[in-house]
Amino acid sequence: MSEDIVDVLIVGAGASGAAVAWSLADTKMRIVCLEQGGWTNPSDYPSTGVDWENRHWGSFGIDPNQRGRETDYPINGSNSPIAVANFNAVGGSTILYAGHFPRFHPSDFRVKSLDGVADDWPIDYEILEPYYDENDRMMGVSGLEGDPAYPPKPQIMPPLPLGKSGQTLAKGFNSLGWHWWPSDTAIATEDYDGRGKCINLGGCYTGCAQGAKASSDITYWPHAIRAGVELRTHCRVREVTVDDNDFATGVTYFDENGVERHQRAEVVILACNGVGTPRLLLNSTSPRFPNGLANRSGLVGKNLMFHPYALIVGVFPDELDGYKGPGVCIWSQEFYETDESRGYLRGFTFECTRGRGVVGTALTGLGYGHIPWGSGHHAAYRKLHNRIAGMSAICEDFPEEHNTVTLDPDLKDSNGIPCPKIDYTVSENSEKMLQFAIERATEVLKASGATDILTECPIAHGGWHLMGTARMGTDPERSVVNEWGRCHDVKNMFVVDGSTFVTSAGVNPTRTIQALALYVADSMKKRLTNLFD
Amino acid sequence: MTNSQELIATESLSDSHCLVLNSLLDTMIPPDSTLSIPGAGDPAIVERIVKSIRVGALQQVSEGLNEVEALTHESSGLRFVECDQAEREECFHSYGLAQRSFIRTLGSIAIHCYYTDPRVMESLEMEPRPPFPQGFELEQGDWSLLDPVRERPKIYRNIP
Ligand SMILES: Cc1cc2nc3c(=O)[nH]c(=O)nc-3n(C[C@H](O)[C@H](O)[C@H](O)COP(=O)(O)OP(=O)(O)OC[C@H]3O[C@@H](n4cnc5c(N)ncnc54)[C@H](O)[C@@H]3O)c2cc1C
Repeated sequence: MSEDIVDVLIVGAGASGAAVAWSLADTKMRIVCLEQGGWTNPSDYPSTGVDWENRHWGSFGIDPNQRGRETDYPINGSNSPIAVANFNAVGGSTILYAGHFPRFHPSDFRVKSLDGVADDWPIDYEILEPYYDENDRMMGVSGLEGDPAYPPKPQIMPPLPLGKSGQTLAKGFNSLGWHWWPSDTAIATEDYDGRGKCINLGGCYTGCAQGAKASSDITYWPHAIRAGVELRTHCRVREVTVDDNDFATGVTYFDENGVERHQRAEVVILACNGVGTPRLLLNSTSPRFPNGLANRSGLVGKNLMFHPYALIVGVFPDELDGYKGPGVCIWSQEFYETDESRGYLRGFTFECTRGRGVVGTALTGLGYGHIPWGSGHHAAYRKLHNRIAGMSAICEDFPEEHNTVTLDPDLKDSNGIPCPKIDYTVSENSEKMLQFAIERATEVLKASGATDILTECPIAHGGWHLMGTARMGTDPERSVVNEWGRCHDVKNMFVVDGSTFVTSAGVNPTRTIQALALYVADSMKKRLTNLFD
Repeated sequence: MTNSQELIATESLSDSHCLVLNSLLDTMIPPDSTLSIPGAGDPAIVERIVKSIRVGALQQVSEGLNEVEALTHESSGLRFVECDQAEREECFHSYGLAQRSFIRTLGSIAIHCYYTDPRVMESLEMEPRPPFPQGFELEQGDWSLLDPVRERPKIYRNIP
């Protein structure tokens, strides 16, 4: 069954889909977004129950294979040391994200010119800057002006409190003369745009019942819908269809009742994230695109970047914040830029974490042999309770063609659509960087007063940043989309999620993903009369 | 790929398994009268633990409990439930039970249920309530700690 033609069809209602929908809404075009998940109800979020940590491993878990909601699709991650983490719903993975919200730096767009590695982006910080600012206003960013690690940027709300954990770690950084700054966060510290301010529930990564964390279901979407965008939930897209002139004609999808439909569209925008978008493109084969849509470069699904993470936490003699407050706290970019004497190129951000809940503390203690089963259990637990804090190191990952998203020959979702398979290895450069980060983190944790240091490297369940699988560039043979997000091979199809990243930088990606989505939308609006030339 | 929603009903463990389970849980996390806290074998906690065992893990746990019984009997001639805490712990550690996968499964569930029990939370000076809607207080902290960082010149790189 085929439906009326719409002007713009967006697939995916997560961080990027929401931003592009909102930005395009002022054109008054007919815009429809198809999202395989539904709306989440904040009263269902784990933090509304005492057992919130337990429920984090259940229906609000970060691993789609373990979570197994009807709205999820399984992912074969058996050939990757890092498992994909995501969430499929209106708001996408921002429902579960931590809200750590750094921007890229000017240097991040020029790694080839500066360090001779990977590729330069076809755009730069200056081009994205106004879109960063616009996105900051829409999401509501908290932070403090004056960070020497960044060009000046506006402050919208004050930063999150330092708390006991932040102060303790800050003293450690100061004693070594290292950079630190309160993290920019997508967490409202004041009432903002109809959302309540943060009340320190903790467990931001299980969904924010207070609505202080800026997931895109409560930031962009209400505005986009008010402006006329139609959002259809529980609609899973199987493939993008094309005509003989290499133009997308629309998408085939399964509606909420499992009925297969075809939605015609003048323009198709993909916002399914760095795994969902290549999956959809690879599933969209046709005589003119036998290897997947927009894949004449052969690069769809290649160059997957995750950001290998190391977790380094210390045990402190005094009580810190523990389960209270957002996990995110302060960051350090002391080791962000390349210093070849370290034995690797590029760098990383330390994202400091305040502490963990009672269950997390006990499981950590048992896992690392700090808490025994039996008579010593309670005394050992009490030495860790509210006394664990530290950081994770977000390491820049380079684009490497052998790190891929392909289609698994056997795995299918509940609609019978082939599912992704991940092949990924941690590079030698990343291994060295991770090791260096662990050593520096150990140093600063000890300087902060920590006694024991616990590490995990790479964080096995930490594939939460999905980038590079439909990269941006000016050369159609070396990239999938052009410098404003349009597919080289299909002139009425755009990609706005992290797939388009040329390089990953050493920071969390979502602020840049959304700024890019706004930039792509604006580029489209500026070219409405000759969009397909 | 298991579905996290699948839980078993309480009655799916036999009475004798339940007895061993109670003792085993109390061995792993014993009651402590000085702290006024129950062990993980406390009936209310066990009830929640049993309800949280997934269908797929039930058989693993039942087989594990049989093994505990058999090992204890082999070493002391006693049933596990007849042993005192010290003897049970001795058995637990000497047979390396902590490394067994059924103990990992059971232990993780036990931790989730035990540390969210109101009596245990209160003993840790926590209010036995969900985080939402009251939230928690977090101190602002001393922002003058930033002074030395503010004095630094910019550390981001110039682009030629
Ligand atoms: C636990 C966790 C913590 C994180 N913490 C941070 C953080 O602190 N800071 C940060 O910057 N980032 C963080 N991230 C990453 C962040 O959530 C993502 O970068 C961001 O959400 C990506 O936006 P997106 O639009 O590309 O994709 P998503 O937000 O993942 O949205 C994609 C949407 O597309 C839908 N979709 C996919 N395929 C189809 C299809 N075939 N048909 C219909 N719909 C489809 C999905 O259901 C989903 O809703 C975290 C992620 C996780 C999981």
